[in-house]
This record gives sequence, structure tokens and C-alpha cells, in this order.
Amino acid sequence: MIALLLMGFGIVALIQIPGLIKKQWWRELACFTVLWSIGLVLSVMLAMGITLPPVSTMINQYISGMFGI
Amino acid sequence: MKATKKVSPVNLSRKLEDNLKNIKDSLGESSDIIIREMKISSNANVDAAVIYIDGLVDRDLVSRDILQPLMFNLQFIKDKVGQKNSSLLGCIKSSVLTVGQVETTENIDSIISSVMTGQTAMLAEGSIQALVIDTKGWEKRAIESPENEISIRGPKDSFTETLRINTALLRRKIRDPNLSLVSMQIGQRSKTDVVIAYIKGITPDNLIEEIKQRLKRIDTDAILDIGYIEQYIEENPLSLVPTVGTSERPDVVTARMLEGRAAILVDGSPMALTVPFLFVEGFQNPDDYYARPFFASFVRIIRLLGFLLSIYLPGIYVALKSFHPELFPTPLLITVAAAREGHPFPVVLEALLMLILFEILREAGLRLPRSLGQAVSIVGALVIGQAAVSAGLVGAPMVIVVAATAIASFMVVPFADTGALFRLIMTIVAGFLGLFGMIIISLEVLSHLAALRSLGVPYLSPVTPLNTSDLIKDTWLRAPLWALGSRPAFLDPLDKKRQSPDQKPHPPQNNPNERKS
Amino acid sequence: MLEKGRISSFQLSVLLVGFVLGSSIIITPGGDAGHDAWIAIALGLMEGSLIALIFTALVLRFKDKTIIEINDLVFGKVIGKLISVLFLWYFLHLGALVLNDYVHFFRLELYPATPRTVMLLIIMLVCASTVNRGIEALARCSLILVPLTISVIFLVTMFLIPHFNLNNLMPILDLPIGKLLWSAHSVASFPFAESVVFVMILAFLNKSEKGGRAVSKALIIAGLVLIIASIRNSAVLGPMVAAYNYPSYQAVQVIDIRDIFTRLEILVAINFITMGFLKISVLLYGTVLGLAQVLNLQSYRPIILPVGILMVILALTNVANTIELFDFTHKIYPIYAVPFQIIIPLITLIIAKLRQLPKTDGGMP
Repeated sequence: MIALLLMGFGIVALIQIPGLIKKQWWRELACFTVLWSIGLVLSVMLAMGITLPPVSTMINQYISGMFGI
Repeated sequence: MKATKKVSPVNLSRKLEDNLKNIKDSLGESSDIIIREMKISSNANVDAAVIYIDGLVDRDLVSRDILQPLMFNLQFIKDKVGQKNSSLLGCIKSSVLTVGQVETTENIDSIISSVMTGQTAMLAEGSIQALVIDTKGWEKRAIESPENEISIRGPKDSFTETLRINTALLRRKIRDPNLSLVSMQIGQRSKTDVVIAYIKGITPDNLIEEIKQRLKRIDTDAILDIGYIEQYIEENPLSLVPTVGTSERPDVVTARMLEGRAAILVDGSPMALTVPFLFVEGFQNPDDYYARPFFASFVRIIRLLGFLLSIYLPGIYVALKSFHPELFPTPLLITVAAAREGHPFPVVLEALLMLILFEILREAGLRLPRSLGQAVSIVGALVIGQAAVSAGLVGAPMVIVVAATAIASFMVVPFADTGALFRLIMTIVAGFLGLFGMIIISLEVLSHLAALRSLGVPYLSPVTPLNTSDLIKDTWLRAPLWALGSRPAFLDPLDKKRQSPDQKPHPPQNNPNERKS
Repeated sequence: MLEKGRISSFQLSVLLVGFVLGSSIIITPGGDAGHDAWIAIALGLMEGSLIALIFTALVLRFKDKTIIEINDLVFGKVIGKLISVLFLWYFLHLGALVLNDYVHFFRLELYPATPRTVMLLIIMLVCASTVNRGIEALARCSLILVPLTISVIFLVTMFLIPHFNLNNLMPILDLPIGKLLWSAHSVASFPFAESVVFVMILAFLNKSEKGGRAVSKALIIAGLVLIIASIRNSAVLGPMVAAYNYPSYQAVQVIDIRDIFTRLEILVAINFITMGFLKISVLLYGTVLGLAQVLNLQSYRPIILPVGILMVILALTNVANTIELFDFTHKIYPIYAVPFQIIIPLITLIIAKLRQLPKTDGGMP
């Protein structure tokens, strides 16, 4: 499963990065790499079974707490 | 530019011998190159030579209209010509040769290329100019009826391989002097004549400019067929759908030109290209315009349904069987389920097998010699279809589905190839992701079509961007001819009106034949 | 300007209708109000239109600028970008929520065996490739898909008329007024005021002066469709309508004409696929374009895929279980969305007016 993930992310990188390098769009390359890495890390964590913080639930609790619903 | 020839003089010299030697060097030793030397007597016997390629020229023309006048009009020439030989060729051009098109040139390369296209070159001793006489006349196919675009009511002529005949066919339909032909030669070795035909005053000028740019860009060995041009100038080479229209019928091409498109013709190809080409044109057939409106609209809608059917039907069948059997109408479900008893393959595989088999049969049928055609259809239909079902390899409903699909796929000619590909993709997707997958892929296709443009015109016009009047008049409904007052707006024509507004026919006010009852 | 395409006001309207119908086609809004849902929708429509007035006025005031650029102008670079990031978070999160709804419905009703990730990725791929083609492609797709969807809705409604039992709509307004108003407000925040994402798209109108009317026309049309659907659902399903998660789907299942035209609810599912596709694409577009503008990138296209993947990850980890999802949607979202839909645009508009922006002489403050 993780192998599949890595392959997928690799394909995404392969699609985008050569074009960016050729066009010398360094800013965009940096941005892409940052987002891509975040995605990679998070999905590997998901695949490994680590539960990531459930965002909507957190918002739920926060607002419930604030307004006492 | 690119060719590395050995250095040879560019222009003619005054000595006939040198000229002939240079030309012979360039042309080589081929046996069909005829160099006919002769003498023209005016005051002094003047050596002259006529060069042509046997097989490309009209032999009668050469002997009757070039050689004969030269050899028999000695007295006339003698009288006409002054002492200076440089006007010998001028006199011959203006008064002796009885051929329509004659030009002069001093350039050896242009002499050679003219001779290669079937013209005759004439040189004389002492003259730095040469005459190039149009004597093209080779064996050609007669104008026959179109093989692939059949029309029941319309004219039955189709283009042939000779460019001049094709342009003549266009001119026969539009006798307006505004019908303009722009010529180019493309191809390093083939030097193929290419013509852009359009109607000045209707077609926007920037369209023609753009086409010219694209054609000039082409730098290749040879243009053997219009398909080459299509692939070099289309702007979406990776797209699955064509953005350039083709036709082998002059009436179709002229109708499209009258709406504001441009046509491209190529010497050696019996097909013409029309640009821009939009999605809806695939569903338009010349017969739609020659028949009456209600039937024509009906047929168009059927065509659309048939097309959608031919793409989706195998996929729907596979998806329903694999994922949603409950979606079959109950009476049908029992029949379908019964037919599936004991079949070895999953539905997807069955469907793909049948579809690929059909493509094989179709392609083989095209290439077979006629004598075997009958045998193949019998083998295909009976043996494979029937026997496969009896043997239990393939379900009967599957054969029906594929047969219906196959027939429907020929309804829309320009998209036949595209349709075949989509069908396969749909079927595979249906096998893995069911209806959901099919719809998602369809969305992707829609998105692709929505972004496509053909020479600047959005591919899905007039559906989107929306133009309701065009939509009603000439897409899937065909309004009566008397209502089609203006040309389609998406082509941005310069002259918007096609006909005057009151074209609707009505019974005469005073009918002379009416009897008072 | 990162986006070179332009769309007509008609295309904008159609896209907006598609967007609003996006998830509300399957999760009919106003469910809290029971058989008075249609009244809640009508009220929510009014509130939603007022909200839309705010952000439309804001964006059209600045003509060709998206909200990101407007924030920069109104609040100055630093605070402006912070506020823009808030919007980007909202778009991203909303996209993930829609994806959640999407996948939840399909796994429940049609494809229990397919892994959520696979479904999400496929949808995201198609949306990403559409966004890659620019706003024009998106608008043109909507021009074909939305009329189709609306026709299907009318068709099934026609078929259901024989099953209407208008008594189910009675008694009208037997709801405590507080509950009705709360329901109306939740309708306003989902789906109508979600159109706030169009602050990213209104900049690309051909003629920006037509923007306001385009938005209001679209909201009204979408609202009418939803009201009719709501009435139909209540009339057909009776008092149980509030209990169903997907009332439209349930209602259409009733159709059975001579044993052949059954299972037409597949059409409802197809509608959801197409409209959901539009909604997610619009949200993805807003996020990606916005991020590119905040970071001053030359093009939004390279980051489409990573952002899409992040949206999918967010959708996968959004909630611990389905109950929380519904809890969130019904109780919390109407509050959580208010800052993004109402407060921030309103403040921005007020400040813009006070500072008399945009300056007509072209200078930046």
C-alpha cells in the first residue's frame, strides 16, 4: 500500500517537475514541492494507520464549547 | 535552404550547349526525360531545344501546339523577327505557340521544377531566357461518385486526385469571382501543390492568415496525402477528436465555404480539408439540406442518439451486469440472467472480446480483395457470432449489443474512429467502476471538448458558448431553408446575411388554375 | 492576471446554479424543518441573496480583481494576505466536505465495496484536469450539464405527481418559529451563501456590470428548483421526510411505470455526480487560484495536483465517523461559515467604502 502511494506521488512529481525546471519557474517549483511533501507525509501517515486529527470534529468541539450547544 | 547541391549556375547563359549540359546534370539520366533539339530558321538557323517529361505532358499538345508551329512557321518567324535573337523567344511566345499558359524565366531551378511538374521548357541559342509552357496532361481517374459520403438526393460527384479538376469542381458550384484560391508548394521532394480556397468577403481574413502561417511552417520531405497536412496543421494533435473537417464531396465543401470556412486542397488527394471544424458538424450530412425540414431534423436526432448509443451501450450493459443488476427492467432481467448461465468469462472480457473482434473484422473487410468479401462476412456473422453463442462462449445479448453498436457507429462519419476508441474505454471503465466510472470519464471527455478550439472557435459552439438562434437553426434541428437567413455566428463571417428575409414560399394569391366551384 | 479566460454573465449564472445545486441536490437543505422545509428554503434563499449582495457588491466594486487582490488593497499586504489565507482554508475545507458527502452517498447506496480513497482520487483527477483547462472550460461544461440536470429534475417530478399527497404538507408552519428560523439560516449557509467562493470568479466576467444580476438570477433559479424538489419530496414521502438522509433519492425510488421505468433514482445519482463535479471543481479552482495569487506565482497550474491531493487527504481525515459529519453539517456549519460568508466580506466592503477604494485615478494607497 505504501509502495503504491510512493509510486503515485512519484508519478505526480514526474509529471510536474521537469516542466517547471525547464521553464525555470523556481517559485512555483518550491511551492509545488512544499505542498507535495505535506501531501506525501500525511498520506504515508494515513497508510500506516496513524489517525490524523479530524478537523471537522475539532471545529465541532471548539464551536460547541464556545456557544454551549 | 537545406539541400546541399553541388554548385551550379543559377541563370541561363547564351550558349544553348551550356544550358543543356547544366540542365542534364541536374535532371539526371532518367529515361523519361525528353530533350528534343531542333532548328528554327529565321535568318540563320537557330538551335533550339524543348525539354519535357514523357508521361507528365499531354503529348498531343506538345507536338501539335509547340513543335508543329515552330517547325512550320518558318516564313512567319523570319518575317516577324528582327535581327536580334533575344526577341526570338518573345515572338514565339506571343505569336507562334498556340498554348494557353506560357511564361518566361531565366532561372535554371525554376525550369527544372516546372519540367518536373509536367510543363515544357523551351530554350534557344543566344537567349538568356527560356519559355515555360504549361502542357500538363497525365492519366487521371474520371470523376466518380463518392465512396464514403453517400448522399441520396444530392449531386454524386466527388473530388479526384488532380488539383485542377478539384478546383474546377468548386468553381462550378460557386461562380462568384470572390472565390479565391491561394497556391503554395509544400514538401521538399514532393513539391506538392496546395491550394487554400475561400470566399473573399465571407471568410474572415485573419483565418486565412493563420492557415497560411501554419502551412508555411511545414518543412518535410513529402506531402503524400491531405492527411499529412491535417496532422501538421491541427492545433490539438493529442486530442482524440478531429478539429479539422474532411470531405470528398464538392457540394459539402462549398456549403461549408459559404458559411465562412476555408477549404484546403492538395494535389494527389481526393479529399479536401475544411477549417474550422466543430463538433456539431460531425452530425451534419449533405442530405439534411436537400431533404425537407421535419424529416431532416428527425434524422439528425436519430443520428445523435445512435452515436451516443454506439459509445455507451456496451459499457452500460457491462456496468449493469457487473454492478447494478437491479437496474434492469424486471422482464428483461430474467432473460438476461438466463442467457448468462455457464459462461466462462466475466462480462467485461466478453464485451471487450466482441468489440475487438468487430474492429478486426471491419479492418480486414476493408483490406480484403473483393472476391473474398462475401466469404468473410459469412464467416464473421455465422461462424463467429452464431457459433460462439451456441458454444456458450459469449452470451446472446452481448452479440446483439455489439451488433447494434457496430451498425450505429457508422452513423456519424467523422467520429467513427473516435467513437471506436471511446467505446473501448467506456467498456473497460464500466467493468471496473460501473456507471459511476462511466459518468466520471464522460465528464472528463466533456471537459476536454469544452476546452478545445478549432482555429480559435470553441469546439462546442453553438451549444456553448450559447447561441440559441444558431442552435435552433442548424444543429440538431434543421430549420427550413427559407429560415436560415444568416450565417452561423460562431464563424464570425464578414457578410452575415445569406438570403433576403422573405423567402418562405406560399401559395399564389390568385391561383389561375382554381376553378370556382 | 493568472487567468486569461473570460466568461459571459450567462455562463456565470449557469455555473452558479450548478454550484448551488451541487450537494444540495442530494442532501436537500432545510431537513430540520420537516414538511415545512420548502418554507425554510424560501427564507434561506432570501437571506442567502442578501449575503450574496454583500460579497457581489464588494467584488464588482473592484472590477477585475479577485478577493485575494481586493484583500491586499483594502487591508494592506500583510493583513490582506492573512485574511486571504482564511478564505483559502474555507474553500479547501468546503471542498473536502463536499467530497465527504459525495463518497458517503455513493458508498451507502451504490458501491459499498469500493474503497473511499479510490473514489476520491478518481473524482479529484477529473476535477483537477478540468481546473487545469481554465475557467472557460469549467463554465462551458456547466452550460451543458446544468440544463440536463434541471430537465431530469423536472422529468422525475412530473412522474411523481400522481404520487403527490399534498396533505403531507399540512399543517403549514406548525414549527416553533425559532426552529424555522434556524433552519432557514442553515439553508442560507448551505447552499446559498457558499457561493461566496465566486468572489474568485466574478473577476473574469466579460462585462462586470452584469455580475450582480447574474448572481441573483442564478440564486433564484437554483432556489426555485430546490423549493420544488422539497415540496415534491414532502408530498411523496410524507412525515418521514425528515428522517431520510437523502430524501430526493428515496422519493424517486417510488416511481414505477409499468415495471419498465423503475429504478429512476439512478438519474438522481447521476445528477449528483455531475453537479458535485462542478461544485468541487469550482472550489478547487478557487483554492488553487487564490493560493497562486497569495504567493505571487506565475500560474496556478503546477499546484493543482498537490492541492487536490491535500483536499482528498482532508476529506479522508475530516471526521472520525459519519455521525460527526452530520452533526457538523446541521449544527455547527451554519455558525462556522458565518465569518467567511458574511462577516469578513461585510467588513471588507465597509472598509473599502470608508477608504473610498478603488481609487479611480488608479493609484494604490
